[in-house]
Amino acid sequence: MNLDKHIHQINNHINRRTFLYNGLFSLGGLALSSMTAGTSVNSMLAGTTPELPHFSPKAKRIIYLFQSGAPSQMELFDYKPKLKAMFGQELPASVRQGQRVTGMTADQRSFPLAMGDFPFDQYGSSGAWLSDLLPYHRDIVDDICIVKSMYTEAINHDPAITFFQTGSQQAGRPSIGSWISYGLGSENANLPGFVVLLSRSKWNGGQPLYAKLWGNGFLPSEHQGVMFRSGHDPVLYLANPPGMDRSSRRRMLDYLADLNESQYEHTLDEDIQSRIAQYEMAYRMQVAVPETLDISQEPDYIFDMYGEDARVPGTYAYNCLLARKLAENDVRFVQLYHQGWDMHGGLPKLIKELTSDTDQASAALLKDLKQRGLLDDTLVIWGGEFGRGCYSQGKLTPENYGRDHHPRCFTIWMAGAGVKKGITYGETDDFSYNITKNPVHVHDLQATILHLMGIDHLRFTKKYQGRRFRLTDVHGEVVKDILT
Amino acid sequence: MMLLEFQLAGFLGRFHPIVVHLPIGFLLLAGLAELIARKRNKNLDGAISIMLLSGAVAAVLAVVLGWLLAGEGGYDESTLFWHRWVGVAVAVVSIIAWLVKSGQLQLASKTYQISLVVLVLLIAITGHLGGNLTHGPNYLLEYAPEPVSALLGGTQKQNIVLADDPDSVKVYEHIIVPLLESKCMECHNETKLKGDLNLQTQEAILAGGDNGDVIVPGNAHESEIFKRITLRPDNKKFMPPGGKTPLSYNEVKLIEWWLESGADFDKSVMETGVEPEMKFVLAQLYGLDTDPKSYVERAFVEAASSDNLTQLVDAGFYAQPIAANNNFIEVKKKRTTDIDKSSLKLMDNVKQQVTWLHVGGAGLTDTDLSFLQGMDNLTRLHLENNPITTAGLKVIEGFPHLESLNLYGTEVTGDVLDILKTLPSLKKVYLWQSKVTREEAAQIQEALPDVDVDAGISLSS
Repeated sequence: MNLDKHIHQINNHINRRTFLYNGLFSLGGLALSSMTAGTSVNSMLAGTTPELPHFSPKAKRIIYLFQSGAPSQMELFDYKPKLKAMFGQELPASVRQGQRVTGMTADQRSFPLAMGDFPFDQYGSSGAWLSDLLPYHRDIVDDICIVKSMYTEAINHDPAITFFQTGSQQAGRPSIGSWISYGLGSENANLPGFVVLLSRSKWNGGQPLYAKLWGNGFLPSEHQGVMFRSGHDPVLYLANPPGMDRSSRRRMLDYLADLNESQYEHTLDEDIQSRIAQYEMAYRMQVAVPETLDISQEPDYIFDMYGEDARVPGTYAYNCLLARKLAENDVRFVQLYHQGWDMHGGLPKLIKELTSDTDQASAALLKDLKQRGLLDDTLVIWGGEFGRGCYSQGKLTPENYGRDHHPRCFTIWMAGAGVKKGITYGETDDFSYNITKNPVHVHDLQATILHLMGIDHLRFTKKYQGRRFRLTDVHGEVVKDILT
Repeated sequence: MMLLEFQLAGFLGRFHPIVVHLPIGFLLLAGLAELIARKRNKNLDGAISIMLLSGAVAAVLAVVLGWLLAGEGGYDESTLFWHRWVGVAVAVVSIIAWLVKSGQLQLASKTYQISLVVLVLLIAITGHLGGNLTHGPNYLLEYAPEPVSALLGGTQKQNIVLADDPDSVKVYEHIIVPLLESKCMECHNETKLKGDLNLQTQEAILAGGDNGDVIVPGNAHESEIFKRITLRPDNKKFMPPGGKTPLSYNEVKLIEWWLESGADFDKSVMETGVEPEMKFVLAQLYGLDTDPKSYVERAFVEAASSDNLTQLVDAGFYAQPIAANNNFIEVKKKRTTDIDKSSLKLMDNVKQQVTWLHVGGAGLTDTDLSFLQGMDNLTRLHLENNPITTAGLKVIEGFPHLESLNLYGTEVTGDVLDILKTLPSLKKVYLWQSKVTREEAAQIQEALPDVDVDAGISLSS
């Protein structure tokens, strides 16, 4: 008797939940679910947390151009004539201050200062310094905010990039894209809120990137990043196999959903609901993804802007073009990675090649977003996981040297919604070794990104295993100086 | 010798406020005793006589000490005159009353009674005047309930509640005046002109005091007021003196900020300019948020009903408040969903709330744009990729808050400048791939130097 009553209660509970949940994903259910939710219209969006955004957002979406492997700040943005003047001399101990270096250079007996022939000049009305390696950046230098004083705690690629993406050096926390998708939901029901695009330099091998970087961690799994691959099959297993038409697929999914629902009624496992949502998303993506990724309608002048590479799937330029198209389609977070910036040797040659991969397309993306009016509410970030050291790794000649990892300072840039344009923020010493003004920690950057999206990073938490987690852990200050 | 004399006078004079309570007590008690004696028909003459004698002696002493204190100066002349002579009158009348009571002077008993009543009235008057001299004329009724203070004709203390809009908070009126009131005006007011200085009004502040100008606009460190409040507290010239609560660090910073910024009597907080340090002070003391705010963060509208939003969503729009703490809404035609033009009418119910509107690529023509009529709170308007011309844009003429207007891929021509000119808040306009030529775009940029005119990449190359 008691058992019956208990089962009855659970059933009631399940039915109410299922009803609300399904309601969220169908137009007909919108009115009902918002009525039953009662208070907030925000709940009309699938997956939205009702109290978000906390305040009026400056940015509605983000494109993060991650330069994986860590670009050298000294050859690109952080102009240090002293390195050239003191070429070959030892890095002063007063500068290094016993700072740990990686196992790759820890055994070096000498730390000779290195700088090749990379002229710099000042550009734009802001007079920002740019290396000749970045000719296309001259056009956008008055639209970006160059932050020369980023620093991190990690010294090797994997923990460093994991730190940037998830706020923790250890794997397992949700990625920033997942946090934002979880908090703000998607404005386009046919595409994922968090899309990942990968490219690799043809010139240099890349540091590995694992799916954990765009993983959802303890957030519902529909918020994990969806990787769009290059080539004719951008999302694996998305296309119908031969012999399966769309209506058969629909029937199959409906039946599968029934099975999943009945399983859910037994277990009340929320992951099953995520699974159902993802099947439905995949079904809608079957149409939306090929449409969105189709660049055949782009006029030639677009390829002139982005560079001929943009016609070749799998290149950085191609992905930049896709990023614009995804932004146009209201994808919340486009996480782009370009691999190949890790230059422990042969840097003078490699950095020319890597900038030839990325300079034109990065600038083109910004200009393209701008002329469409998208830069008003899109935040673009360019940067790697740490910087590179001012001394040579391995044998030093003017034509050839390498640079080891350097977490104490490096340069990124931000542009678009809510970010001051045409400014350079933060300063480093003559060796680009230590920060001398306005340091910006990784958690500060994360807090700032959330702030621009209308989210107070202190209040944006998810309870898991008995404690509330934040992207910024217990740290992070919004860098108000660079905000409009 | 002179110095010694003066110091002795000053020393004794400071006992006036203490001694002055003795005659008040003795003489009022005498009046009370006389009243009781009459009511109960008892003979209390002996006791009353002692009370009157004590009161008279104390009154004379108080007058003498008061005379010495007045020698210090710095009091409002007319108040002092009346306080002084009414005080003398108290002493004289109390002596007469004692003489009568002790039988040394013969007067009609009626006259004696009147003299006692007069005595009580005189004590009340001179006591009140003395209080005004010491504490300032507003002291007594400062915290009186409004009806009481209105009845007694006290000056109304304005209860300033700082609005959270730093554009409407005046630095002098809302920040400096209350500060001077709490720390300086007790002595520097129109009645108690210590150092011949009154800080109650703009004119009085500009008039200065015994030491000349009290403020030097634009230079805090040259200003007497700033010098005095930043001296070592044990310095004789430190203000406020004599163990009164000095200004806090933040209050000193506020005075300095006001002086350095030109000591303007009318400017608002934002007009005065807020340095980073002042930002913290204003936030800490007044909860003022001086970060620059956009229109949608400053303005307030009633919330749109969720029915109206649901209708828009059902019609294929994205429609949502822009933030949890904000009632303005964003309405957006989804790129992948076509909308029925008739559904634009659904926005009639939320015209005040719509602030970000995206209807790009919706196939809209000039006549369709009439739905924009009255959307005064629009700050961002996306009309890109619609076959609209300048004529259709007449409807947005004069929109007061429109900051960003996206017209890329439309048919507008160079005459769109006529519309743009009427938009006072415009910051950005997008004209790429419209019928506006490069030359016309340059002309528009020249005509509107504060607007970012984006004509996009050149297609000629």
